[in-house]
Amino acid sequence: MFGFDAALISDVLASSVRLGTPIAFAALGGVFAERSGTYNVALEGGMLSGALGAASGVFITGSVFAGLICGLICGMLTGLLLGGLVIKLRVNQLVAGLAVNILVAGLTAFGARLVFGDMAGGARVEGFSTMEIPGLSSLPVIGSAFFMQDPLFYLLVVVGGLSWWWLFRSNAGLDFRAVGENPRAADVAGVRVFRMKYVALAISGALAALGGMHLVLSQVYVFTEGMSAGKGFIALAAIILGRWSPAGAIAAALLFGFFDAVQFKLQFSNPDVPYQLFLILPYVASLAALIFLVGKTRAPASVGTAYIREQR
Amino acid sequence: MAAVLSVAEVSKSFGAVQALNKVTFEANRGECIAILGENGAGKTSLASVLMGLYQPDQGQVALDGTPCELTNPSVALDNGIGMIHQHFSLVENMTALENIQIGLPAAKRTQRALRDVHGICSDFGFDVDFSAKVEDMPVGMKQRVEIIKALYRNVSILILDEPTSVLAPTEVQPFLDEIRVMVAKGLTVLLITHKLEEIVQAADRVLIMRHGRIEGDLVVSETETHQMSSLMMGSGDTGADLSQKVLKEPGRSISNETALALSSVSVVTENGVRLLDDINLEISKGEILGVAGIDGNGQRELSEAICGILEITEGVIVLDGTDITSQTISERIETGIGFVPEDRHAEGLVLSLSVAENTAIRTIQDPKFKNGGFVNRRAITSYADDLVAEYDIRPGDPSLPASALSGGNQQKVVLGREIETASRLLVVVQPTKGLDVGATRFVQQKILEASRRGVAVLYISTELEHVLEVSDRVAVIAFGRISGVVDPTTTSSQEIGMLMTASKGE
Repeated sequence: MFGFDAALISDVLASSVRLGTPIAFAALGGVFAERSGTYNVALEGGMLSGALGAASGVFITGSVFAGLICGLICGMLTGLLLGGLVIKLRVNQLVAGLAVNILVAGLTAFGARLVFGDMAGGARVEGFSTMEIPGLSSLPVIGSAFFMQDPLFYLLVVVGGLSWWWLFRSNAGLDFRAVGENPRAADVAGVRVFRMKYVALAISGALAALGGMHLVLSQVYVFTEGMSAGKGFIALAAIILGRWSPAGAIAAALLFGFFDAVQFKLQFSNPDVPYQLFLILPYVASLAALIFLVGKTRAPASVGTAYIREQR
Repeated sequence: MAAVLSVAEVSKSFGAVQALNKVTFEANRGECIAILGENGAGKTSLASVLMGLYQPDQGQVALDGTPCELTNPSVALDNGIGMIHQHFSLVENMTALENIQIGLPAAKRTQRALRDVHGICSDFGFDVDFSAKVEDMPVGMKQRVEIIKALYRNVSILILDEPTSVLAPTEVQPFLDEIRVMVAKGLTVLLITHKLEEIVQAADRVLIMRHGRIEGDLVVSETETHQMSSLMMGSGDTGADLSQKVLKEPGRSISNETALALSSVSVVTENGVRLLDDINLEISKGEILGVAGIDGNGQRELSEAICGILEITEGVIVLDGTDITSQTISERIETGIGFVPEDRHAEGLVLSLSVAENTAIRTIQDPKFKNGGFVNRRAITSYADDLVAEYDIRPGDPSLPASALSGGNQQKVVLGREIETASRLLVVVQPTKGLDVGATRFVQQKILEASRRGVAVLYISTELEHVLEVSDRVAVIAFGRISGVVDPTTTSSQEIGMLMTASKGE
């Protein structure tokens, strides 16, 4: 095994952040959805649609920025599709979320063949490269983890901060949380409940898409089918572990990223042990964290239920 | 001057049910109008139309003479209509001040603007802790928060939906006085209620509704209460009948054989909260013991402990000489305990099953419902037919799903089933909750009949009036303890009110 050395810790931390960022974006999106009263099980689908959107955008236009916009739009559409199912048609949220995931998995696989043609799965696209923050990046241990990342990670930090401020310090955020806790109370107080719920899912889808875009634009520079590989579901656990707060969800996601990074290190350093054993680690960690670390904070009261105004 | 509110020919139906039928009335500034009616008469539907929650099929609402389309609650609010629902529209885990701010424009959310909230409090004499979370507040204070929320939005029309049903008897009078203060300050108050004495005390006019129609629009000071109740009940009933409340025969004899005995029963949560604290009660065969108290003081836990749903931490429960403390729920049903739970939708019935299935569901193990290893459908149907006939359940078709019945008829299904099960003990919780006068009387009569057959009855309710009407003795529960046992014929509401609010150690 390996001993303690600063370089190794620094290395593990840096890859934790890199591996945790997609989960963090999705978890942040999930916080918005659940705070508005909807379980967004379609985070996984949001990530995939964002990933394909970004890859095709860049592939067709050659501009990373265009890819970003394209991915965001795909994510929002995924969120709004879920919204239409659960808000308008009042389909069970878990069923609708799973349905969207399956639909998006199929559509993105098909879309990838349309866009990349014969190259599907092998079409490399432009992306972001590491952006060093001068001064801070040379800090020992944490420097490379937090200040030598790609632009999307910095975006995550900014969006996370803004989300916290908006949810807990702004007037609209108070209304928004009221919708998730007690939609009738918000409705009779004059909040546009249905609009809020749709907006929440559009934001949620866009954030999940950013997670998928991080995979394409900052990690592997290529779109592959099913590349989100369950990260959208780990994000669901991160929401609960993070107690429905933006900072908490991001921290929880980075923790899962950390276990993923450790898992990789263990794989490489122990080639004799079947690697599947190490692959379990992030999932065991998320289960254990949910069991031992969750406190008294409860989910937004109305989450999972459809709001029906004319209910007798 | 045009009326503040005028409603013209408003109709609304839900499927085949006509909730509102050409409702027409006017309301003026500084006036309290009571809306009286049985359950399902359309009171709440009318309020929901005014709040923009329901869209009327026909008709028009005008405010200050201008026709208005109240398309959603925020439009209603912008036009000065606010409503306090029976179930509060508050976000439980936010503070009072946060709740007041929800949905307001930014200008009314500044620190300076929010200072006006305290002004409203002192104007009307409300005592509210604004930094407390709503979930930690007593019910009376939550109601004040709701009212302040409306007043801070400058409403000119305030709709109160059964506002006193959640209050302790001692809190009712001060609340009615507050309504008069609001009216004196120029507010129009629409008071939805089914309590005639409140109408006499607080309202200027009364609208009487029946089957979605307005049957009377009367000035309260010129109207006898029995006239109101006869209009509410329709032509078949005379008002005199209703005011006759003595249900139990005076001085009826009760056997001195103890049926149920609870000794030192306590229920303590993991966190050390004593939901039930050293309860000692005895009920004789054929006796009705009423339990009065403010909602949430241990009534539910008491009923569940006796019926085996809640495990008790300390104490012994004995029924007819047998210790049933460790019996399971089904053993207790077999022993002859009937249980009418408070929430008939969530606990009393399976709404998607048929009425017939619901009548058999608690005793499905009974050999009479079995045919070899299978359910004997025919036996269930014929059993349900009898029950439907005896309890006059309408519509009289037991193959309908329970959800197709009105609240009163659903309650009859639960009650009928449980009275049939209860050979020794009947535990009823809020049996008349949400029922109109006719159904309430029927339910109480059936309970009295059961007691005449020798069944001990525990009658738990927050409707003090009803408890006093049917009970032989009344135990008052407060903070999980029995704070006193009184004789309903000699007690006063002051005495009971004191016992209901008696804290520990007193």
